[in-house]
Amino acid sequence: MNRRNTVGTALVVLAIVLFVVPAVFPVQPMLTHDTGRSTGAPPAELRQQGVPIVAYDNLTDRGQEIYVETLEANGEYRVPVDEGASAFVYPTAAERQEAFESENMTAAGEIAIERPEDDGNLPRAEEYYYPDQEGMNDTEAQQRREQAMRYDLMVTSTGQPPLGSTPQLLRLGAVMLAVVFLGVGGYLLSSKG
Amino acid sequence: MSSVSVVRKDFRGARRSRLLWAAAIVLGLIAALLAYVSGSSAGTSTETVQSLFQALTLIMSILLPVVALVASYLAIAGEREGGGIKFLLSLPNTRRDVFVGKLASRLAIVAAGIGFMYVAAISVALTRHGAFPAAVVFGTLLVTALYGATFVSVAVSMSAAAASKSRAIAGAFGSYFVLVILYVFPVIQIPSMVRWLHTTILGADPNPDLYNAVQYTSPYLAYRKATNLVLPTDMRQVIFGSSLPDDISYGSAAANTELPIYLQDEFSVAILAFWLVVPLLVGYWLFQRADLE
Repeated sequence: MNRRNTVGTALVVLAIVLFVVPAVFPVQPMLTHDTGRSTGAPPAELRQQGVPIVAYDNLTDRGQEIYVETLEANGEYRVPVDEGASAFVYPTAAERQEAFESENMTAAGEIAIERPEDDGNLPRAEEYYYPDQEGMNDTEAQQRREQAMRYDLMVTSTGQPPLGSTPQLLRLGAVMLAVVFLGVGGYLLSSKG
Repeated sequence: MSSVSVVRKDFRGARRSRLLWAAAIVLGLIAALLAYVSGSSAGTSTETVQSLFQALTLIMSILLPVVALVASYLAIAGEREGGGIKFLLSLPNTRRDVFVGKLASRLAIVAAGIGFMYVAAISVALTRHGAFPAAVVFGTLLVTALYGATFVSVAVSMSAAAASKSRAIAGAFGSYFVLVILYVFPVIQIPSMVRWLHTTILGADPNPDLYNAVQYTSPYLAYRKATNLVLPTDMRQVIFGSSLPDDISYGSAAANTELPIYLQDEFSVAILAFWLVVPLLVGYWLFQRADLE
């Protein structure tokens, strides 16, 4: 076997390995916590909408830890599937859609975290609430803003990590390399002699 | 030699072409990237992968004719202009052997390119979503291979009929323009031209069924309709909405069954079969009559 054959065969074998291995080990889903949404609705209105309200102090240690980590990570924090908190529901995209259709906000993964009156120990909730109801006076608008700061809306879900994450990019890189190796290896083997 | 020998010789030559391998790599990379960025739909993993392959067919509907035409337009015209046709037609080869051999070889090359894209897309789909909806994957693969074959048929036939490379190139570009571009480009489209002719020149009342029937003669639209046959009902593309009553939901099976039979999805198979067979018959007939000196 000449050098051209050896290199070609090696590249094709490597390409097959690079095609198969990432497919055998798919990207694992993760649990996402997102505090990016804001609401100025009072607790009664939230409950009426079906959004459960949980006081921060009533969360388990893990729940509190995740909430704080989410705030410190600028509102979005992911953990592996078995490292979520029991207080949170983690629907998939399909389950979330189904829950929205049946107006079941608990199953949709929405939860309002009631922050303590004195929340100096917690990272600031970056809530930007702009009252949109006409006829609301300054006092009511201020009250709504305070409620938005107090009741921090969090959306939890199960899903793929973002495309820019390391596990995703590693697998894309493997397949791209596999395509190039298969093409170059195939050419070297086909054009011999 | 026979047609099998012609296939072997032609395929070996194509396998040695750096350009064809480069094209295959580019197609594979496009498929891998498309599979990577798709998948934001709210459905299950299986639905996401199904929509990925639907998106792949949309890309293929534009790209595959280019690949098939470029891979095939010089199949016979190149041999004629270069003088190689005399060697190919030396005894005991007949013109039929050359025609069939070149056709089979170019079909195999285009099928290999499609297979290359699918391997990349399947690998990324499994990696990202862990799902493999076999019926949709193999169904779209089959329909795509048929679509590619129609353009190979057109290009090989033109190549057989053309006396020079320049005529074969003109034929390939022209057929892409007439069979694909005129159905995609937003300003000048076949239905608009037919409507203008029908209503302005002939003074007739508008007839959407007629305009849709005329544009359905394109293999491009036939392919898009044919993919509906292998996709779940709610993913079907509605191409001829103007022929549907207002109260029909686009995601329902009625969006197909309410159409006249010549506009339904199933009719696309007949149109693709037409484009597969008729150009070959015409091309072979012209090749048989051609003076190859």
